Formats: sequence, structure tokens, C-alpha cells
Amino acid sequence: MDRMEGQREWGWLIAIYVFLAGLGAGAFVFSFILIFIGKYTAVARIGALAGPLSITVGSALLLFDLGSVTRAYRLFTTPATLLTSWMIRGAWILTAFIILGLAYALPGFALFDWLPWEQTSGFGVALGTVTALLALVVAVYPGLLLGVIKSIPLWNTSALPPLFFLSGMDTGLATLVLMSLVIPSAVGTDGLHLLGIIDASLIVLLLVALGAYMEIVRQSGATAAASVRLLASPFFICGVILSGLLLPLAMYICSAYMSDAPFIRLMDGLASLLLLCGGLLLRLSVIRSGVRIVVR
Amino acid sequence: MRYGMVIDLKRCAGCNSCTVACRAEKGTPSGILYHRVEKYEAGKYPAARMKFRPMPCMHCEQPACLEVCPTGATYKRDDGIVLVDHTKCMGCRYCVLACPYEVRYYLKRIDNYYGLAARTPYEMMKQKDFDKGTAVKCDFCVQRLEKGRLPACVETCPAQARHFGDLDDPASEVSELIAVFRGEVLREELGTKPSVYYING
Repeated sequence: MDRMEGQREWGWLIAIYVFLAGLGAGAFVFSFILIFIGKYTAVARIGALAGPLSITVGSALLLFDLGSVTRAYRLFTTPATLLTSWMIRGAWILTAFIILGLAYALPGFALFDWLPWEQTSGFGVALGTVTALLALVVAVYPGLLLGVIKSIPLWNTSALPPLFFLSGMDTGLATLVLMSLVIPSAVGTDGLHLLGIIDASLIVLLLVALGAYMEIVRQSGATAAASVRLLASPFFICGVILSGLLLPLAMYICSAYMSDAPFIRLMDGLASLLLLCGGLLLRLSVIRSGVRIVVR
Repeated sequence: MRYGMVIDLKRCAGCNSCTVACRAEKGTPSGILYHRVEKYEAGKYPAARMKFRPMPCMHCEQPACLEVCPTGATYKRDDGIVLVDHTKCMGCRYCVLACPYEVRYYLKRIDNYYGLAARTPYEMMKQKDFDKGTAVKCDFCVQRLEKGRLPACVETCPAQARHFGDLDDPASEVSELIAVFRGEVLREELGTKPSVYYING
């Protein structure tokens, strides 16, 4: 093996975008569900807004990463490329999500009372349902953007989109947990227990997906194996698997057995923060470890 | 009409004249070469030997770079040449990642090649169509073709390892070489259908 270097075209700006896209989509999906069932709406209405806002920031980072940002308008004037390019599809999906997400989230705030629909009215629920479905696409899309690149085997696998999707859902939920700690009496101890257990289940699914992803890629060729060796650095093992997934999992489970409110808040808060850091490091590691197949 | 190239690896000595001719022709800035020669070892001692593979753009019939380009900046002409319209490229580098042959380059900066404080008149003349923050690539020397000349790398090759012509014409030199010496393309399994063929030694 003569080359063990990941690609250098895309870096941390793209990684943060992928992280924010997953987080925003996850936060929106769970907020919509909570508003729909009428539980913890004080947190959920803010979470529903955090979704599109987080994706707006992420999209801004994508623009910032461009070499000639003044030509980005072409993403909306060349629909013919929609037939083949995932990047322009993504641009349209993100734009639609931001517009619909804001339209759904804003009536939850007194400032936007003048909007003629409610989150719980028929139109509001329909709007929220469509946007939540779109959010699922937003969470999967970065995995497709990278996944169609055939020359990078670490990305070119159907195991990548589920990985980004699950990580997006659990970081989104962790964001809701963090927000519910900041807003006093928004979510009681029972609520934190519930959100914590759902997030713990998502972590278990993510661990399974991550393990399967790394093993399948490792077995799929020399370049792929080199990428996985690069990916599974001590930094990744500690930052993503240990402190980014296993530790938060243990903390959520631990706090579910506690009844002392300040302790639960501390545990869930720390677990959510660690999960967010782990999610970001996961994206950064996957993007940085993409070794290209050498053609000669 | 489909322009194509045949590179006879039995004749290639890895001298990089093609690479230098390319830079002289295109005036690419420091850090950017539209053409490179891959050098690698093949076999094991005592039968090990040095091998060379010149890598221009493959001008694929089904280009991976064209497929991913979101702005329509990458296009393919009727004669098979794949080009970038630098006035339409937004610099997302998706094509640079997608090209399986790593022959697309990103013009991050335009650095002076000759180490001077200012650009030389030669560079100013050659680089007037360069746009910082866009993707760039080999264009089979399209301006030379329009004048009836061969691409600079083909004309320069001292070993006469490179041949250029119309792949659609079964009587052309390139078609005959491919047929007689069983020319091969790189990474055929991807379905990109490159227009650059290699004759393996």
C-alpha cells in the first residue's frame, strides 16, 4: 500500500455541514412528533425552529466552501443537471426544507401570530408531515452526496447513508434534551427519562450500523481497508466510539434509574453534549479518511 | 467524430516531455499540471521493473465528472472532448472527487510558476482564461486541433508513444492500433468509456 492519505478536496466545512444537516433534520422530526402528540410543546416548538435554522447555517457553510460563490445561483437555473447530480438535488431539497420548516415552526411563536395557520390546525399538521418526511431525506442526503463517488470506497457504500441518518436522529434528539435543560420546567424528570431512553436506543442502532459499516468496508478491497485503518485512529476510537457513543449510552441508561432531578439533568446534559461532539467527529473522520483508489 | 488517444506503454520511457510540453502549452500555474506520468514498480525482485503511465484527461464518453456537475459548467462536445466552462463553474470540487482518474484539478490560487514577483508576459497571455476557484482540466489542446495541429503532448513525445485521431473512423491510426494491439482503457468496469487507450507492454 503506497498511499494512506485521505482526500483533501473537502474538509471540515463540509463535515460541519453534514453534522448540522443531520442534527437539524433530527431535531425537526422529533419536535414535530412531540407537537403532534401534544407533549413537551414548550421545547418542541423551539426544536422545530432549530431544525431549519441549523440547516440554514449548514447550507451557508456549503456556500462558504465554494471557490466561486457568486455563481451558486446556477444551482437554481440549471434544472437539467437534476437528472444526474446529487449536489443540485440536495440544494433543492435543503431549500424546500428550510422554507417549509420555517413555515411550520414560526406560528409556534407569539411574534408570528399573524400567520393564518397553526401548528395543530389541519394545514399545520399536513405542512409538518410533509416537512418531517423531507427532513428524513435531508438526513440521508449527505450519505448519498458522498456515496455516489465511486473512486472513494469508504464513501461508496450503501452502509454510509444509514450511518449519517441514525447519527443525525440521535444528535437531533440530544439537541432537544439540551434545550429542555435550559428551558425551566419544560420537561419533567419523566420527560428526560423518556427522551434519554429513546436516544439510548438510537445510540445502540448507530453502534450496530457503525460496526457493520466499518467491517463491510474493510473487507471490500485494499484501498477500502487502508481507509478503515486511517478512520479507526485512536482519536476516532476515543472521540467517537468511547466518549461519543458508549459513554453517553451508559449515562442515559444510568440516569433512567435515578430519581434525583439535578443528577438526571447533569447526566443527560453531559451525555447529550458528548453525543454532539461524537457526531461531529464521526463526520469529520469519515470525510477526512476517504482514500481514493489509485489508477495506474 | 470522436477524438481519442492511444498511448503505447511499450515505448514510454517516463521522460515527462509530455508533462512539460503540456505546461508550456497551457501555462498552468504552480501546483497544477493537466498531465502527469505515474511511476510505479511492478513485479518482485529479481524481476521487478519500473513502469510508467502517462495520465491525461480520458475524455470519457460517459464522464463521471459531467454526471455530478450541478451547474452545467462541465460539458461534452460533439467530437467527444470534455470541457469546463470557467464562467459557469462555482468551484464545488465535486467533479475533482468524482473523476476516477484524478485528472481534474482545482484552481485554488494562481501562483506564479517562474518564481518572480510578478507574472511573466507569457503567463499573462496563457492564463487569461483562468478563473480562480474553478475546476480545470486537460482539453486535448482544443485550440491546436482547431488549427489542424496535434495536442502538445502527442507532438512532443520523443519516443512516439502517443497517437491521436478519430476513434469513430475504423481506418484511422488510433482505431487500427487499438484493434491490432488490443488497446485497453483504465477502470473499464466503471462504465465511463474513456477515449484514451493504452497498449500494454
